[in-house]
Amino acid sequence: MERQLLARSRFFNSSVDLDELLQARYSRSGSQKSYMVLKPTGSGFEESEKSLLHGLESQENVDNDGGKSKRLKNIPSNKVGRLDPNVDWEKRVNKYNKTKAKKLKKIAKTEKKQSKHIDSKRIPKDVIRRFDSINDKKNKKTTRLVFRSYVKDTISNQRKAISKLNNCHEQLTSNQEIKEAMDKWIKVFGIPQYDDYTSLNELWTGYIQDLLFPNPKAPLAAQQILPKLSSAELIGAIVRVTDSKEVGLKNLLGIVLYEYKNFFVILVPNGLKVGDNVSIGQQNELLTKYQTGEFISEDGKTSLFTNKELVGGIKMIEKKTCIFKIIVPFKDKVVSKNESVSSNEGDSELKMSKDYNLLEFLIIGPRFNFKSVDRSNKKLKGRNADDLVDLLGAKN
Amino acid sequence: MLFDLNIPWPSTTYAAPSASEIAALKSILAMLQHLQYTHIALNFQLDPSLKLTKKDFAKKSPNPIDLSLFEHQFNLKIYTRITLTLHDPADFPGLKLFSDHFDLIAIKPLNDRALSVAITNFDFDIISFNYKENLKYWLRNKAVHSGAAKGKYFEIVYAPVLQPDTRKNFLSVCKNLVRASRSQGILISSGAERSVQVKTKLDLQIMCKIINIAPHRVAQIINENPSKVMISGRLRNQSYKQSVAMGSDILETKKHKIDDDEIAVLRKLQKK
Repeated sequence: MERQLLARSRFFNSSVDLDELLQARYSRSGSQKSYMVLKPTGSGFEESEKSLLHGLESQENVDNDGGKSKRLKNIPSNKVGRLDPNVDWEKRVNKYNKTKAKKLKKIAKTEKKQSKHIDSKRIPKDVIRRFDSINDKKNKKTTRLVFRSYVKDTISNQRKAISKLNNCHEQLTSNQEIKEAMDKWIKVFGIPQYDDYTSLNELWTGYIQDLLFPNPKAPLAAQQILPKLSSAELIGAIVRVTDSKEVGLKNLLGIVLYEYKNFFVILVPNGLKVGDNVSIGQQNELLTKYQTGEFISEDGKTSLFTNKELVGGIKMIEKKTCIFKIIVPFKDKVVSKNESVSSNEGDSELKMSKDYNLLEFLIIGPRFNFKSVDRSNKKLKGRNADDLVDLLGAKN
Repeated sequence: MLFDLNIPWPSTTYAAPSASEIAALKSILAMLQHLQYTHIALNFQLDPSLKLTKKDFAKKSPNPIDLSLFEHQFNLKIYTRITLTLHDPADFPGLKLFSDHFDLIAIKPLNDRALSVAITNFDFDIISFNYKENLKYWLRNKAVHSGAAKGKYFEIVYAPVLQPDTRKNFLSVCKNLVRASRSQGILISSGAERSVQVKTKLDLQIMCKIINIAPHRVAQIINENPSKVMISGRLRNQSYKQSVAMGSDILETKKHKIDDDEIAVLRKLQKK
């Protein structure tokens, strides 16, 4: 039976070999073994690739053993140690570098194309890279995180620009010098400009007009408008701080870029004079001077604006400490000058601003600290209003 | 700034007051302006015998006070207020009838139960008492403090102290209130029916001393607490749940106009 079984094995080509094996197995003088000896076939088995260091070790072993190590014999010769003296390593390294350089060039080309395309829309490169990383599978980021890093960077850049202007403050004596330095550092640090975002505000006004005045023939009463406004999106709105507990925020104006739970991120125009003693009238006068390129007073001694005001840029404003005002224009077709805006008694507010086609709203910051998403869902509650006295109370 | 949140409207019903009554009211307002008051509330004391329902206000407004009579005559900010006497909270007409039409809402509880029920359930600003008579119930410390914690203020009306027959009643009610509230959450107002009964700020400070109010609370009672009440009352009507409001100043009573400079600034910043 054993003979029959073994005959099927491919190792025994002839019956003579088989007979020899069986005789040796069952003879007393032969090398009897209770098991079959299997020889390595040498094919169909490859060792996995090993690190450079491993190759070095194995080569040392070869030297020590005098070429007797069995393990090395089994590995095919082309895969033994990578520091094979026969291989021309310089060639290999050069080849590798060339391919890498080609790849990098390709990436740079595509980036250039993208940046050319987007430069026309005036979005800085940093932003594009950041938003590209959203699709990056390895470093996945949400919009919120990306925007947070953007705000952080631009604010630090603004500080740098201001300090650069501070350093050369005494050397700048004429209007033109100031303007050149200002433009230079704004460009270098990529500080966002108000003019680029006015289109965002136009978008928002369209949205809010549709929301608040859906039917031009029958305007809503004030008590119907307010709940709608409280749940509306405010990104893109022009916001003015009418009062604040913090120093130097009063009469600040800007476009809302983003809304956190406790903060508005707003973009302030350059040349907007802000301070606790500065009225809106003074602000208006100084703004004309800025736009005509007057940065120094007529004596030529004192500068009209601080460097912070010249640079402008992003600002984070805490809702808790401020009262905001937003101005909403009517739809052009809604109100002609002869038409009465509404017949209801309650909304006398609507009637009087007819001359301007504008409406003013107050946003009470301490009661507004919700995320914009939550604001639409959450039921707001009236509370004890004692904490609002500092902000809303009569001033004397 | 000085507040007087209780100048009684001449009639307690919806009948229009006579010309002489209006003239008397105007003389009070002139006196207040002379004494450098800035914020005034006209108090409509609704007659409790009138049983009003929603149908009564289908055509007429629940607010009989005509502020146009005083327009452009005084340099005062004039608000309206209603005082409702509460006997039994069960047959109470409901604040919703009035809350949209008055800047301030006050209640006058006649018994202990009415006071505690009103504090827990109703939305109003001021709790007032009748200082011409003795208080018929004992003010409990707990009830008064829970009211103060919710932003309700207790009112002291000082006109009765100027008449000899009601003076002792005034003092006894004040004593009761100051004891129960520990001089927290109190505000002071005149309730003047004649121009002589209005007092200056200095007089008010002395009066606070007489009724044994803690010295560090005096400034609060005269200035801070009335302005707090005024803001919470105005926010109820002018804003949506205290979050968004019309106009640019909550306490402003004049017709609102957008600043010309504001528009000039916005125009300059527009896209070229």
